[in-house]
Amino acid sequence: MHPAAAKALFDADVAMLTPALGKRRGWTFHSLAFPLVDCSFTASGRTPLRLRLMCIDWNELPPEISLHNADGTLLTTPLANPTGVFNGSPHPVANRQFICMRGSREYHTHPSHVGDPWENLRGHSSYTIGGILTQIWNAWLKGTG
Amino acid sequence: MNTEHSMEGEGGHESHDHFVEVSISTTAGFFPAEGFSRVPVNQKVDVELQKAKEALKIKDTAGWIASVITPAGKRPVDPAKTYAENGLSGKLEIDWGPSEGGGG
Repeated sequence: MHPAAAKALFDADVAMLTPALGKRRGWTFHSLAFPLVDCSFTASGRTPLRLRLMCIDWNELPPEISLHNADGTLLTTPLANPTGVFNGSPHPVANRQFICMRGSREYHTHPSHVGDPWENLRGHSSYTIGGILTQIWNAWLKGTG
Repeated sequence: MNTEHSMEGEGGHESHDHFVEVSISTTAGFFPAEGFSRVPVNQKVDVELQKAKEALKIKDTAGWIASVITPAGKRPVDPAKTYAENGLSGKLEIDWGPSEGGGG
């Protein structure tokens, strides 16, 4: 993927991640500058979850997604009461906990899921950058803590 | 488009109880772009969602869920039912997007 093309697609996607959307959903955007989306999910009574989506080669490849504490440090302990997509065991390639969900690079490179290629999802409305964030957000909202 | 004033001006027969004000948020944008649409409380939620899909040029909404955002959190909405049947009234911020992702 040519970096300029990846950046153009990235910029078009993140243009919709506006402060108004963030206010409504409880999302805080720390960075929307190519190739990084750095976003915290917040909700009443919850410990915020910060995610970094590294979108190099977007959208030829899905984003690498890492989980962080509110201060930006890498999350080293599993989430309390996680729902299905939050995998607290180390990813065999990334060697850290990961989002095991269609649309994360960690999912598509996991030996258990290499038969479910990103190409089948790429360009779908649910697999824009915002769509992937929304899916993770909805999973996070089902958890507690 | 917020039509509240024009509808109320037509003889005063329309009651606030018969309408809701709706703003739909997605990661493709808001519908309407600003403010709220005033729609009959007995209209199915899906009518506004389909308008949003067209206006925001969303290609495929299979598997998407609609919820109302309240201070207490998100509450799911059934698009096949009316606002009244969903127990909704007043000013509504409806969030619409893909549900929890599959994988695991």
